[in-house]
Amino acid sequence: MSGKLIKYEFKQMKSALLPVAIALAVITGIIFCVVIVPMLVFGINDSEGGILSIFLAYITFILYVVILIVTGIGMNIYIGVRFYKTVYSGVGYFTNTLPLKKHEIILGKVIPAVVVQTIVTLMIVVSASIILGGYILVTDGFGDLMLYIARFKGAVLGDFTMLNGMGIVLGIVFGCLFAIIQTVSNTLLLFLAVSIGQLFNSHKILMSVIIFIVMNRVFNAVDAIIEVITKAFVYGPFIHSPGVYSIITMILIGTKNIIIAVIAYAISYRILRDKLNLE
Amino acid sequence: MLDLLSLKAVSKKYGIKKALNNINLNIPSGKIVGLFSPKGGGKTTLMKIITGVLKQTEGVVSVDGVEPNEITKSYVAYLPDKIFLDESMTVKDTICMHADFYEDFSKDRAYDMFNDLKIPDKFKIKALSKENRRKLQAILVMSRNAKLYVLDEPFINVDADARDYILKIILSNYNRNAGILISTSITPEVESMLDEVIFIRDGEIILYDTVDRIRNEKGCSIDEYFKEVLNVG
Repeated sequence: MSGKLIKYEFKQMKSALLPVAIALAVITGIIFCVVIVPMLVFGINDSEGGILSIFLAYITFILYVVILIVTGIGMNIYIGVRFYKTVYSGVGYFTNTLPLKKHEIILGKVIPAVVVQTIVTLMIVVSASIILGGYILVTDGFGDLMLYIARFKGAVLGDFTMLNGMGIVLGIVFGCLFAIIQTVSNTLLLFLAVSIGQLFNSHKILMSVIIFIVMNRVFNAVDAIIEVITKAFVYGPFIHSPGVYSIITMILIGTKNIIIAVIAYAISYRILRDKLNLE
Repeated sequence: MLDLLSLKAVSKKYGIKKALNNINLNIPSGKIVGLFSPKGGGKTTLMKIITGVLKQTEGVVSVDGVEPNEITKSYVAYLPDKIFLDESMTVKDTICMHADFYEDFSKDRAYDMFNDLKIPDKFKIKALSKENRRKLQAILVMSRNAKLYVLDEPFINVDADARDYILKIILSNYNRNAGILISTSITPEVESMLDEVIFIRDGEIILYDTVDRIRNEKGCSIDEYFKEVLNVG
C-alpha cells in the first residue's frame, strides 16, 4: 500500500521538481552564455573595460551561487511544508484515514522526499560543474582544467587507494552511501521537526522551522566535535595516511546520521500514532 | 448481534481539559443517527476517535468488532468538517487516488455524481469553488460502499443549493446495510432522514433515543426537543 502513496507523492512532487529543473537549466545556460562565452570569444584582458566585465562576471557568479543555495534550501522547505500540509493539516484528514499503517504513511512520504532531494542535489552539482569547468577552461586553459580534475579526483578518491587497489570504486560507493545516509537523516529530521511543531496549538509551521534550525545547529556541532576528536586521536598516528582520518570521520558522522534517522523516525511514528493534532 | 459501533467508557482529555467524558454508545447497522451538540460539545472529537484520527485517553472503541486502525479505515467513510482535498491535484487524480486506496470505492458512481456538476475532471482542485469542493468531498465519501459513514457537518459553509445537492447525494448513495453517524444543524429535511439521535453537552451524552419515541412521547420536533433539553437557541 505504501507503493500507492509513493506513486501519488511522486506525481505531485513532479509538478514542483520540473519547474525547478527547467529553471536551473535555463539559469545555467544564461550564466554560461553571459559570463563564460564572452570570455571565451573575446578573451580576458586587464584593461579598464576588462576589469568592469570581470566585476560584472563576479557579481553574476555570486548571484548564481545564491540561486543554487536558494534552490537547495527551497526544496527542503517545499518538502517540509508538503509533509505538514498532507499529514498534519487539512489533507491530513484524508491521509490519516487511508487504510495504511502509520509506518506506511511515513515511508510513503520519506522515500519520494529523499529521491527528489537527491535529484535536486545532482542538478545543482551538474550545473555548478558546467559553470566552474567553463570558467577554469577560459581562465586557465584545457590543460589546467584536466589538472584540476585529476587533483580533485585525487583529493576525493585518493584516500581510498590504500584499500587493496579498490580505491576509486570503493570511494564512489562509500561517498554515495554517505550522501544517501545524510539525505535520509536530514529528511527524517525535517519530518520530526514538523511532527513536533504540529503539537503546538498555534504557529505550527514557525515552531517547526525553529525546531529544525535548532536541531540542525546542534547536530552540526556534534559533527564538528567528532572531527576534532578524530583529528586528535587519529590524524597524528596516521600522519602518512591521511585517508584513515577521512574514512574514520566519515564512518563516525555516518553512524551518527543513522542514529539520528532511527530516533527521528521512531519519534515521528509515535507522534503520528498517538499525538495527532489535526485542526 | 454485534453492534456496528461500540464505545465503552470513552474519555478524551486535552491537557487538563476533558473533551469527552465516559461515553458509552452502541449503534447497530442500518441506522441513521444524528449527533447534536452546542458548539464545542465534543461531536468532532467523538467522530475523530471513531474514525481513528484521534486516540482516546481512556475507554474502548470498536467498529464492527475492531479497534480503529488501518483495517477499520477500509470500511469507515469519513467526511470531516474541513476540506481534505489536495489543492494541487486534479479532480481526476483525486478520484483515481480514492479508487486506488479504497476497495469499496465505485469510480463509476463517483463520475455519475460528479458529471452533474458539469465541471471537467482535468480541473485542479484549487480551481473549484468552495461549494464545489464540499460537493466533491461528499461525492468521494458517498461513492464508497462503507459499513459506517461518519459525516461531520457536511453542510457547513455552503449555500442552500449546495446543501440540497449534498443531502441528495447522501440519501441516494449510502449503503442501506451501513450505519450513518451525522452531525449537523437540525432542519426538517435532516430530521426526516434520522432514525435515532444523540445529544451531547460538555463531552457527555445527555440523550440517546429514537426519533419516533421522542416525537410520540414528547410531542415535539427533534429541533424543539434539542433546544428544550440543552437550553439552547
